[in-house]
Amino acid sequence: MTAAARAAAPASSALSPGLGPDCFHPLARGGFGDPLNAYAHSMEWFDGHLYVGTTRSNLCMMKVSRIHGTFDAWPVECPESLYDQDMHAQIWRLPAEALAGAGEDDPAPGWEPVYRAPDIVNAKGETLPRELGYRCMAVFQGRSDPRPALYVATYAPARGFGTHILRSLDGRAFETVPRPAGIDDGVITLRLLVAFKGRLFTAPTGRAGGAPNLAGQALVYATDDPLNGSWDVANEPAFGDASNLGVFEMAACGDWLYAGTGNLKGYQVWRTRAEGQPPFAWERVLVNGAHRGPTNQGVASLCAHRGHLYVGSGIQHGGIDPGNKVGPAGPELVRIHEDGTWDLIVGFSRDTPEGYKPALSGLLPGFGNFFAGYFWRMVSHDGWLYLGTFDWSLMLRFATQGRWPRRFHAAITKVGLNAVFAHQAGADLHRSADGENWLTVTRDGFGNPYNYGIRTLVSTPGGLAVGTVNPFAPKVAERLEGGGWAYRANPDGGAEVWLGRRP
Amino acid sequence: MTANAASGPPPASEAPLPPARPGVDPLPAPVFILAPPRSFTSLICAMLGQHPALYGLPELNLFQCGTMAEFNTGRNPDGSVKSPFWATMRHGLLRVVAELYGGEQTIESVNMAERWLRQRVGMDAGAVYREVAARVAPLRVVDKSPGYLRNRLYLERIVETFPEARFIHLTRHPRGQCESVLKTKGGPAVLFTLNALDRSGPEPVLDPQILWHDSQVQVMNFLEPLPADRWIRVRGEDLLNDLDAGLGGLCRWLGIDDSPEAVAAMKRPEDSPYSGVGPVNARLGNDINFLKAPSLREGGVTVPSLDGPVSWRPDERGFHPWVDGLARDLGYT
Repeated sequence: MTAAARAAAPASSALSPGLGPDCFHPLARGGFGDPLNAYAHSMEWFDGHLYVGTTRSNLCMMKVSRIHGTFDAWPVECPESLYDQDMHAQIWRLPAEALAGAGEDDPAPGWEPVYRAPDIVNAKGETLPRELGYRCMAVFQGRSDPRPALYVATYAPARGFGTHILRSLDGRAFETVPRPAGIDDGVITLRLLVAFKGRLFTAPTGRAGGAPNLAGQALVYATDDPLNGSWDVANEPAFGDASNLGVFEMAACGDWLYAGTGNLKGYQVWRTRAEGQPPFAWERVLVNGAHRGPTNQGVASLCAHRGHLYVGSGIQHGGIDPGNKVGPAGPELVRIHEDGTWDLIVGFSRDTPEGYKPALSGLLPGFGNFFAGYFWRMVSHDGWLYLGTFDWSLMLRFATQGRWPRRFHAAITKVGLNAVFAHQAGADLHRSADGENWLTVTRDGFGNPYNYGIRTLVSTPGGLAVGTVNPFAPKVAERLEGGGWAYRANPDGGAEVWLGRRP
Repeated sequence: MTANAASGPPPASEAPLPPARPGVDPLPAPVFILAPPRSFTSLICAMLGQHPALYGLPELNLFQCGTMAEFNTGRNPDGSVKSPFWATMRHGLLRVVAELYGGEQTIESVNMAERWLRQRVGMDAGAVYREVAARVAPLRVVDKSPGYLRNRLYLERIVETFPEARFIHLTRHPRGQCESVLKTKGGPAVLFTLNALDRSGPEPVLDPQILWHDSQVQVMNFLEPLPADRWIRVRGEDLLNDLDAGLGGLCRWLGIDDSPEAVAAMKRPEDSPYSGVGPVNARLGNDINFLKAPSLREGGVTVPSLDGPVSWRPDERGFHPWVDGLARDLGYT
């Protein structure tokens, strides 16, 4: 009777212990030994292995793009030409049995490089990597797939032939499958592949020309047979609202498929049951960034947890979007119920047309961290919701202080830059069982301030896998005592993968 | 991991948690142990709480407050301080919230609990108590907050919030209880703040039998008008000296399983998540002696005598006649 009664009790006895700081162990460091692997940009559990897709040298990519920060020194040393360094994206995998030994060796043995982007020759005759990164993965079985396959969406060079979708049945051989007809060579990246009710969904994310996050078309595509490329448009363009600049994130929750947009007036969230033939009927759930406005610029993450959908926001380009004069402003977390009503979880309590919304967690935007730029990724694992952030405080080290707003400069001066780095630098990981009451796992990128984002979170049978972004390699800028800057090798640079599991 | 069919029943670990802000009913009737400090309340509450149908709480002290603003600030509506020990009297609820909502009692989860409390600053304390009870339902909470005896109003708040609550009047021989209070770290200070002073002589004398007496009278006056099946009186020494009979009897009175397995579980008070010192920002919530040694001890409990002088009075007087009479009414000799 003891066990039965306790099992029936949805109290602390039913609340499995979450993963605290001591539960996490490194699986990979330094970009799998190649520190130009800057982002663990995609991750999936497939056929008994943990797969990680990387994106290369993002800060050097940024340097040659039209996105510019104002830095006294560029944070990392970059070659004259981006392609003077190896920019071929990679896919790595680790077998399940290696997860059981996490923590015994650092890094974990058993990583296998299974794929490296091939070369292409572009229209100008330049030889380039076909992909600079792999931005998302999904396991899906289409009509023509004999079994579940691993699908991977790519991040392509601006001077290449646009984004692709890759497919693998065995995790070693990857082939391209047709992308939606509406996605042309100018679309360089897809951020999402989501399986729902027998279809695979995607949406264009970014275009060449310095817009990796704004495709300019808020279109959703769906197919039940990606191998044969029979993609259909699944929504009315921009959901009938031209202010929706792109569909940035999608997730399934219960009987609904949700889509979050980027919108300079504040994100929108739409949902559909995806029944019948596309285009499907969609209904709007959130508008104007849950009535916060432009500072809830885009939906950076969506996640179903215990029957609710959680919505994390973000401002593009690391939490500050100077082009659109948005930010910095910490992200918010919202919870959507099955009936379409919603709660504010983390953020500024406020009056809305749907009534007063107190922040139920008692936490201000960014979990109280001013430097949080996005709530970048969430996952539901073993009864707990985990949320990883992007934290831009490390970039202050390289920034041109003379261009800071006066009040910000005064605040940082008062606190002290070194104190900011000591206490803030590095991404945060938070967790909650009920979605309202949150605990912090790490505030310092698992002890590495160069891990300034948590980009991938995957629930595996062996634990919670966490992938970081860490583009501060191979050499990072360092201010010299006598003035000026020098680049020094950074042993802490390169993406990392961590595993959280109970002892 | 992505799945093709996202719809369908969620896995067990995805099951919704109970509502964070529950409605009024149904809630299983809680059990309150009423007794002054050092009356075996910590031990017996923890033992009862290990029954498969019950959930033992540390001292919540919620009913000493009308509102959560009072609880959070430690001040009465008129601005007066509730107790010089109020900061530590919040530890019990902090530990419960940390455990129930965070799955652990750590500095981090207690900080989370502080946010939880701030979020409820506009609520009645009774409503928050119901929220806690709903969180552990269908288990019935068992509470022992000796502070409730300080004011009849606090006891009345219990029945206003839980009209079906059950009460255990737990007694201890006055000599054992008084000596234990005086031996406990901080005990004399507690007696002083509760005005347990005999002022009949030329010099005030700290006399714990005043607290013993007034507490018993407070409990008896409170219970007397309640239906007889809602409360029971238990001599702590009897229960601890015959656990099978004592615990089994309480189970039957509460209408819960009295099997040997259930009683065996109750003999492991140390298994409670609150049977131990908490993190530095919420260390207590219970008697510190119990927290440091929560297991049952071998050998039972000796029942002292009412006769003879009491050890704490310089005038070598014995128990006051009122105390002596009341103790004999309660079955002590």
